[in-house]
Amino acid sequence: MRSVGLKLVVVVTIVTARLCAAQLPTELEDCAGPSADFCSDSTAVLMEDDCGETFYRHRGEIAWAALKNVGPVTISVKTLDRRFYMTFPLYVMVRGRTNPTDGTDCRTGMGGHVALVALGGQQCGGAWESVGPIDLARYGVPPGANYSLQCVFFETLPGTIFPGLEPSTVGFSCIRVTSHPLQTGDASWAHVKTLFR
Amino acid sequence: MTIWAFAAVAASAQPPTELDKCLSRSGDDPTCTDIGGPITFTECNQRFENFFGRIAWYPLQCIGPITISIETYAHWETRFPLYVEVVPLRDPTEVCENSPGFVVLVARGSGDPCGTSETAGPMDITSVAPIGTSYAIRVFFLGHPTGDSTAMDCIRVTAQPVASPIDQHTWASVKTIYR
Repeated sequence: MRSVGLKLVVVVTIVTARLCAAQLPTELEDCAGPSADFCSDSTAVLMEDDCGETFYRHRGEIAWAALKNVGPVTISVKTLDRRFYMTFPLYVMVRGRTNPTDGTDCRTGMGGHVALVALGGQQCGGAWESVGPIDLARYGVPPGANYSLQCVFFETLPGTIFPGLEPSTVGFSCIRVTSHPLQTGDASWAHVKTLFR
Repeated sequence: MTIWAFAAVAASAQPPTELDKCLSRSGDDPTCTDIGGPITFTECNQRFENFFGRIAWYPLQCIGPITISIETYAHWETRFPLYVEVVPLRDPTEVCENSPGFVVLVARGSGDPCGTSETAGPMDITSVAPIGTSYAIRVFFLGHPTGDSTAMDCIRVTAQPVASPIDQHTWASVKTIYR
């Protein structure tokens, strides 16, 4: 009876693990704001844009829960640089979550490789900047493995001359990850025989 | 006697106020690190290190304005600067993970094989680390499949103590002031 119970637990665990793994998204579309789906090191500071678009400043990192690598990806971010003085770019990083202890939850501070350096659009409404399609294997994420994305923000010491206008990373609005899955074609046995004749 | 002993112990438990560390020197390892990266030996017989992510030294006690100097080296694979940050020390376990910091120096390095010293300060950090509180010095390295941040070896922090509002005077001097 105890053995049956143990087997049941094992089966349930394996099924749950497989279901969780299967349900990981392969693409991402998220925007800062009340319905944002990321975790962050600091509270967001709202930057108003004249064109009605909203952008946010952060300190430290924001990150998203894990995605699954099913092929090359294009990563895009919408940012705004409206400052008259030095700003820092937004660093978008890819972090492989290939170890069993890495989990799939939303977590900042995991390190990673820079995939995109966004300098920030200076025009009204900001601008989208993209990289890709990139092969994530070059970033330590083999096909089929999980990975996550993080954005790194910097900010200088609070100023005493113009408080609130410290040089900082450009404002962030949205992120988009589109996947270009590797195609596996269907072939009949006759077709395979033709190919290898 | 007991009070004197307590005072001595308390004084010895105070964190240092200055920092002088070199990654190439044994025993100067950072208090926390992310993943180690490539090491470069230059023709000047100097060793510079890279990391993927953050390294930090702490605790340091704030006693007044600080000057930070870092010895750096850049080469043809260097793609990103080094960001040197002051991190108020609230939870020491998170310094290399997710404690947000404040950038005090962006070091770009140069191709000088003997290294380049880049300095910032004296700067007042009391808006984020008031006098008497502890902070960390953190260096943020960025990595890319075809390049890294500027490499570093030594980092130094010197502090200029703020004069105490309670000044020392002789009894004769006090009598002179209030005459």
